[in-house]
Amino acid sequence: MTEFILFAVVGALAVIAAVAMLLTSNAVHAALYLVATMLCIAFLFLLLNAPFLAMIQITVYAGAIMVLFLFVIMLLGSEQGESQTSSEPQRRFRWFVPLALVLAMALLFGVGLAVTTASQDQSTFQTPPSGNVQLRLVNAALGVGSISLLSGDVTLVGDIAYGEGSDYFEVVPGDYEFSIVPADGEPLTGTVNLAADSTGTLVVYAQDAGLRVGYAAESLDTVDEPRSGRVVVFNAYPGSAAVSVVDYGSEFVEDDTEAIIEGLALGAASAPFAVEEGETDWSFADAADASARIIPLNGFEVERNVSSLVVVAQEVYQDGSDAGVVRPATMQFSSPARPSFGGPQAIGYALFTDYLLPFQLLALLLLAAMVGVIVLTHRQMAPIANRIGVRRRVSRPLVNVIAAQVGHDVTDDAAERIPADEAEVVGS
Amino acid sequence: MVQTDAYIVLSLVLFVLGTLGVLLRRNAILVFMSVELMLNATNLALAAFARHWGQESGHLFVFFIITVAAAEVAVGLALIVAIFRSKRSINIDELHQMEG
Repeated sequence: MTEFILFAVVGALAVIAAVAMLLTSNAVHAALYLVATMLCIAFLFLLLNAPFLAMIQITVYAGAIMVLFLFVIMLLGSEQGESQTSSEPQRRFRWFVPLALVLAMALLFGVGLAVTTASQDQSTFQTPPSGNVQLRLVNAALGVGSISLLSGDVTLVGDIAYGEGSDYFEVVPGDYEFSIVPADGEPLTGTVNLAADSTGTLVVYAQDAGLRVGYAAESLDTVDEPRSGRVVVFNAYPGSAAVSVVDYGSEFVEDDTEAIIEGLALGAASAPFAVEEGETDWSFADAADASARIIPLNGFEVERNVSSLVVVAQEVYQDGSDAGVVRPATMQFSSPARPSFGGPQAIGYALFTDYLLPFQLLALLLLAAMVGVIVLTHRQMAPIANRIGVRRRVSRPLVNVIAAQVGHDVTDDAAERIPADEAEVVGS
Repeated sequence: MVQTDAYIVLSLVLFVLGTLGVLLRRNAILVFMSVELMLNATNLALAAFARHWGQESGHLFVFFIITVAAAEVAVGLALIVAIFRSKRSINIDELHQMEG
């Protein structure tokens, strides 16, 4: 409700300022009213989740462009431009006024009618669509080969090999029914409830020669903590009942063992948590006995503003025997956090990826405009520059002119002063 | 959250006011300022639709429009200055002749 009051007040101010701009006869006042309208629109940009545009609006429009307008108005001395016009051409275009008003009313009525009819249809206009869910699939299931994710008959993700993860794909929020089909083994069907605008990973793992699936809720939002990344840990290791993530610290110092996450059950995921960037020294340990290290998380580095998913699972180690040895393993999946909507990062990213060509063309256009402005104004400026130079030479202090002609300083206290009226004659 | 159609109606009103300014004002600089008002109204509608659909593209278009408007204002005001130097007037009623 507060937002609507703000919108109504600021919107009304914008309209009032625009009307005042139309009605005032003083061009400087009109420019200032237009500045007010633009500041109101900058505020509305803030309400519309576009902080970058709001700042651009204030600096470029209300700042640079309007200063240029005011400068030209002052330069041409056209503050009262319309009051001193000759009456003959005004009479010729008098019929224009009612026609313009009728056209404006028709436009207002026509589009306003279209907007109000469209807004009565709830599905198309009034409710913004709820945010889709970013979902991905990770295969941590040993011995079933690659897996595919199906929704109904549609294959969403195909052939994810063991230890690999798919890219994020979008699904609609709500109860999501899926089936996971391995290359060899029984398919698995399940349902997961996905909240709107959320991000998550379906981790497929094997337990007792059967497929299981767990859901790890993640987040791709910008990490708020400074110099930090975000980590989610998923337990797909059937070797023990529950695992902990432990930082054993220095091996020379007693009692500096620090538990990062305690008691993560099989098939469960930790909540996303922020970690300072840099290399970590974490290990997976048995939850019942913190000293029983399962596997160290070698070389796991937290990067700034990156979301990481760490999965502890099993792998087959070929030790020379036919079957190999099953041992614990870790998998890491990193994806950069999404820049927040409407912020400078997001706009910069789009500018340098999808909109690179328009951006370059815009730079060319600005260059052409700059050259054009210089060409347009250059020739007219030349005589004025000369005039200024002439005036400066004349208006040099008389004493200096005489000093230049005589060859030495004439403002000597001992020297006789020239009377003021004679100095005028000498100067001219 | 304020509905998108409220923003569209506001932007429509501002656009029509800008159109009236272009049609009714006789001072070339004021006509130009009315064009800026129309561009601003369009920007508002684009930003509203960008939020409606959750797409960044709308913001990019607003960004491009603001940049092009800056270039356009620079060239347009230079033209007005040049016209004023030769005709000693920027009343558009007196500038209807193409020659000279």
